[in-house]
Amino acid sequence: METARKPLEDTTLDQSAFLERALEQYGNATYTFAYRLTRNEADARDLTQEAFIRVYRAWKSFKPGTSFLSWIYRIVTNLHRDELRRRKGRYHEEIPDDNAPQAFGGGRPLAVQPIDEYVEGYFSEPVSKALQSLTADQRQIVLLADIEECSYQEIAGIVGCSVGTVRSRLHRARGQLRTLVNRYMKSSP
Amino acid sequence: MNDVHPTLDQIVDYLHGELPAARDAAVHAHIAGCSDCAQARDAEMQITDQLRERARAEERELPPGLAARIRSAIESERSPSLWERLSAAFRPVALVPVAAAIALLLYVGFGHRGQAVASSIDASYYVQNHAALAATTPFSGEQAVPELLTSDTAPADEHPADETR
Repeated sequence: METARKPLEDTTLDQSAFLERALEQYGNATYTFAYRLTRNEADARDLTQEAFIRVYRAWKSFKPGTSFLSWIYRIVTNLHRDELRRRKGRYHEEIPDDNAPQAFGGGRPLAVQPIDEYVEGYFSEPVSKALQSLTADQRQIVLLADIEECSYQEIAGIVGCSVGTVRSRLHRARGQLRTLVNRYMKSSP
Repeated sequence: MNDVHPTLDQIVDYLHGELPAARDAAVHAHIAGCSDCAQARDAEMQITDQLRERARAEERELPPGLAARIRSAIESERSPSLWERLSAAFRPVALVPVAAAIALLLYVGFGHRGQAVASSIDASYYVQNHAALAATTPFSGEQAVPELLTSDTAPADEHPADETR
């Protein structure tokens, strides 16, 4: 992820060149981030596409020298939140995770799940199960703090809340992870 | 060794490098000499390591064709649609009936207004009209004042200015 943290150096780019550079430097990181948030390829593709369209439209509002990754993560996060709200309004529940254990006949049909994801989900280690048990907001904070290694300040900028809120959400999420990991480890043979 | 054990939340902040410098140093010194807190730190680090390991397995590359799909979506947003192009091409032709409709509406609208103005004509119009109809010589320009509307003897004080001439 280190290469993705490089800033968009050239400030003389035009709109199309800016998009191309952003796609080239941050395409993989953005798609991975979207995938980690959504937990499925189709949603991650849609989210990434919409995020880069927003980048193209709002390219002038990007301040050179600041973190492009933080900027696009913020866009992805907002889009994902909007999408979750939209779906919640429709289904009154969050779309289940791809790897989450699902009752037979319920949720998404097995056929649309890539086999490696199914295997990974089925034999997943306690931390994976625990991570899936977190709410979308908590998962997002853990993702940014522990996997993307963003500072609390950066996370606050991305998520659009105060540093104090980031801190308390992370503490709660980590506390829950701790409890769940211990529970899964005790229950596993 | 600092005797005050850091909370688990403080250990989380410590591992994320988010404690103020003085507190960070104190927690660091405490953990070095406290096996319980060192164990708690290791457990937290283990969770983080597992999260990262899992995350590495999830790393993805931009799917083939997605960049092209993004460019194409932007292009279609930027360039006018077929309908927009057609309507632009036929705009002069479409303008003629639109202009005719506007003209008709204006005409009808002003026609109604004209009637509304006519209804506000005051009484003198009818007096003059009646005088014109009752005139002895048509088209003469002289307007005979109907007898009914005049009096033989005007009051003396009605036109005092005329008498002074």
